[in-house]
Amino acid sequence: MSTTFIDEKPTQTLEPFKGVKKVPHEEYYTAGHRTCQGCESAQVMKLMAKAAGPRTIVLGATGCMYVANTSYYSTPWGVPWMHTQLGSAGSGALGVAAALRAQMRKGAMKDEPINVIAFCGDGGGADMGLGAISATMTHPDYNLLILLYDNETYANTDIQVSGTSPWGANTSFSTPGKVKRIMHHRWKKNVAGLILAGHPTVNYVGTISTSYPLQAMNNIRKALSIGGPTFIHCLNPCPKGWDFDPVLSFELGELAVNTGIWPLYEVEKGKLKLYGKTEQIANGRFKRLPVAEYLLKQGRFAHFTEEDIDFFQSKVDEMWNNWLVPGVIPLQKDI
Amino acid sequence: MATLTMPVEEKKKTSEQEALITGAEAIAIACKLANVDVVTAYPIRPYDTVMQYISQLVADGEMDCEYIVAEGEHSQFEIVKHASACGARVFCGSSGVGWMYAMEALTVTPALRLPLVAMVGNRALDDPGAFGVEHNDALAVRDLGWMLTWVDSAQEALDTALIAYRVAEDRRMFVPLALSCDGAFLTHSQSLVNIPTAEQVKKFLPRYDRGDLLLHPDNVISVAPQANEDWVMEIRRQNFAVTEYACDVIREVYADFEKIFGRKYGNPFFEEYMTEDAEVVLLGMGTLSTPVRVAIRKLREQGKKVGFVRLRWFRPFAGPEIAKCLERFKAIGVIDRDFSFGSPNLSGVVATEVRSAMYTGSTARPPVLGFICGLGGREVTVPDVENMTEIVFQAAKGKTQPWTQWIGLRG
Amino acid sequence: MPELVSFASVEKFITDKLKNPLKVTSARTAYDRFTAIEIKPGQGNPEELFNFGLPKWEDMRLGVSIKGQPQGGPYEDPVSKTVGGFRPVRNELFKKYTTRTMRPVVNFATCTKCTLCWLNCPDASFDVTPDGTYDADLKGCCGCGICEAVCPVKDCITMVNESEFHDNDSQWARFKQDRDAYLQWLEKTIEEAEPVEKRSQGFRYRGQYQEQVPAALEIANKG
Repeated sequence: MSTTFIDEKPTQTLEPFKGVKKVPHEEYYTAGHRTCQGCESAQVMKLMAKAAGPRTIVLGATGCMYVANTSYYSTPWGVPWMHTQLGSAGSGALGVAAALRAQMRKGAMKDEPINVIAFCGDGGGADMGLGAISATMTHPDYNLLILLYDNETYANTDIQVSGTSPWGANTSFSTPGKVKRIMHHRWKKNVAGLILAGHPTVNYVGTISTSYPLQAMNNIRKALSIGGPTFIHCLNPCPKGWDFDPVLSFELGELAVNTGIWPLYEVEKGKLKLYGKTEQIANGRFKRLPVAEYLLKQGRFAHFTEEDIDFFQSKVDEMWNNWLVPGVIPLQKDI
Repeated sequence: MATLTMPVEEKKKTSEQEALITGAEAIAIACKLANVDVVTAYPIRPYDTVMQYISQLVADGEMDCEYIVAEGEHSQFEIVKHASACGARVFCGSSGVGWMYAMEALTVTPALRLPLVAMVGNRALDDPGAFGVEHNDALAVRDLGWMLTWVDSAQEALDTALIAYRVAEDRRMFVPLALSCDGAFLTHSQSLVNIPTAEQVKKFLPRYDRGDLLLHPDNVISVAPQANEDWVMEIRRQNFAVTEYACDVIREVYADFEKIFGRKYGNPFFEEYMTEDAEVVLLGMGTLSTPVRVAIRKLREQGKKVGFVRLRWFRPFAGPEIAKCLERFKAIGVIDRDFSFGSPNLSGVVATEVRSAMYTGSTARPPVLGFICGLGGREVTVPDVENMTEIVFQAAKGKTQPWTQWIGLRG
Repeated sequence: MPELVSFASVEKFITDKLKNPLKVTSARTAYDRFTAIEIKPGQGNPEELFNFGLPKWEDMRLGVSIKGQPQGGPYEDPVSKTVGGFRPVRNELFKKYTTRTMRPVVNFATCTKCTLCWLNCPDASFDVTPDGTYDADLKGCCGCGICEAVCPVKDCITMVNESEFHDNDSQWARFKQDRDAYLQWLEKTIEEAEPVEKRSQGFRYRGQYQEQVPAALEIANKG
């Protein structure tokens, strides 16, 4: 054993898909689940399962992707799937990875790389389960992926505010009223940034968007191949929670990126790379759209005044102009 | 002087080691012998010395397992829960409020039919706390489908841990087991233990085989999709079915244990001490058995015909057997090292369950008194036991009120 | 349509109990948009949504577990009988089509096989046909319209009102059986379809609420 005492196990080699026509047809998360029309969280489940392939074990923390997907006696999953508790995506994934390692080492199970994925929503991942995810990220020996699907609320319990809800959003726990127009005045937590800054041995942390599906799947494949615990944060427009016609689901994902609100980046063994439109925004080849383009297409911001929109814009501008690494590290540039 | 808890008929000559070890260390050794695959640790007194022992065993290459230090008890129990679902033999443990912190995980583990073996180092819940023994922590899962057993010696702890794996991982069972060791009094006190050989354990303990419930890419299943009112009752009923034959499985396993290891426990569910000609008996769980036995021998010398029944298995609760055992006595005093505020007659948990078993298991109606004693690690003293015995004798003569008394209390 | 409760009573209730004039207008707007279609016995979609018994506890699998979904595969062209493409196995016990108010109609002649509708459908409701085009699976489709939004070809996928349809038959099969008839039908259907701007399926464009809310409030305060 090396001086690091880290006992790495090989992962599957999942090459990136070289274009949409090379994406395999097999569905490991198939049709027939109770998600809403236009649910982008379901879409990321489909992409994740497709990217991971059949030699995968998936754990699903409580949330929309549990309650709306897997209703007992019926399931859309074509890979082994198990429910885990709201705050247990991190711990559950560790348990699966540990069980596989021990049994393979002792010859009780065929030794082969098996993908271990645990998904959680923003409620389960950014709020309740953050501690467990953090602990799991410190274990270098276990190959696993935590995928956080962010619909910016506790969606399944009827759209309540979470730690990643955007400033001012109308949710059932942050209803605009006569005296307080803005009940939720906290800024969105930068979860991927938190994970990458706080866990120096993690090999892969990144953000993805379902509106850029090829890149999303390839990043998932990269995370599953790179070894050790990994973390991916996906933004998922939610027609019910955000209040918009589901025909706009895909477009809103693009707008989130193009306004600079949702930066796309990945950190691979400490090396940061902005990608897609975010990269173009960073090197000036694409001008960020005004946030109003994104906000005012959603009913959850319909109560915003001009001042509110200006404030929101100023925070996004700050992220791009003043942060050490736009969208990633919120430290002021001059240190 | 340490008291042996069961008659040692003959010592096995086949290279069984003898060691002076604590209850916690005995369980650590049992985990090593059982070839546990995944262990999760988190510090809380007084159970956590078991994890310290396991750490040393792993570091010295004597035990091969994934040893994970979790960041909280909830994660601790979630990790092993999922490891078990994937076919690993697992061990975990906690005490007091740590066990409570894991409660969400503890609740779902039996429902998912996962054979986790957990050590509970019984500890008073804080606040108000204390590191000493109180049984409420383990008892909190009594309705959820966990098996619960209390041991009173390091030997019994080691043996019962091996038995626990065999019972829990039996395909007919697949339910978790909480093995309770009184905090400090058992977890930290040493006694002589015969340590079985690896060969004996191999004969006794087959591999954990999850069969078609295994979570693995070769077996595409969905475990625990969300059920609704059309399904929950049937799912719970399946768990219930286990309890209908659990006692038979336990009897089977103890019989096999005796054959292979040579140690005879007799009736697995409870142990009787000087009950043959007793007029009244005391009943309790755990290490209070030591002062109780000492007191009983003293009382016997004075001609008082008192005996003691030590309950081993709390879940499943061997109701008919308990009733049949107790019905012949003139009065019974149940010593609860726990509390149950607002319960019928304000009695502790064990007294209430014993009364319930007697009500349906026998037409005899000997008074069953309840005693609350020894909470938070306060000693159950020999004078305390003498006091309780006297109260029970009075009950046998008709003085049954009050039904519950607090013993050893100032005030 | 049988009126169990008059709309006037509903309005009164909202005014008296909820004291919210905006909600009155919302209710009226929704009511006015509502169209009722009379269905005679024998009309409508006769397909059975799903069929399963509720098993006894003894017959249920242990550990709250159920079998997962198997993998799909290629399927047969109804006319040429060549086998190709990919049709996933879909969850037979849950089909979303009953919640659909619109369905996608597809032009297989102009489809460029870009994959985007199939790739971006959250409900895996496209079959890859043996031709390499994409056919909406109407048992699973819940009518969200993402396919229409991402399709790069004009009028290749159009969302149309579901109430015209009484079956979930494959459009591609119809296309293969009689191409011309299908394309004629398609053209007519698209012509008569409601444009995106007029659809009543939720909030659709920037400023929509800003437009509607003051107007709605005005109506409510007047009436």
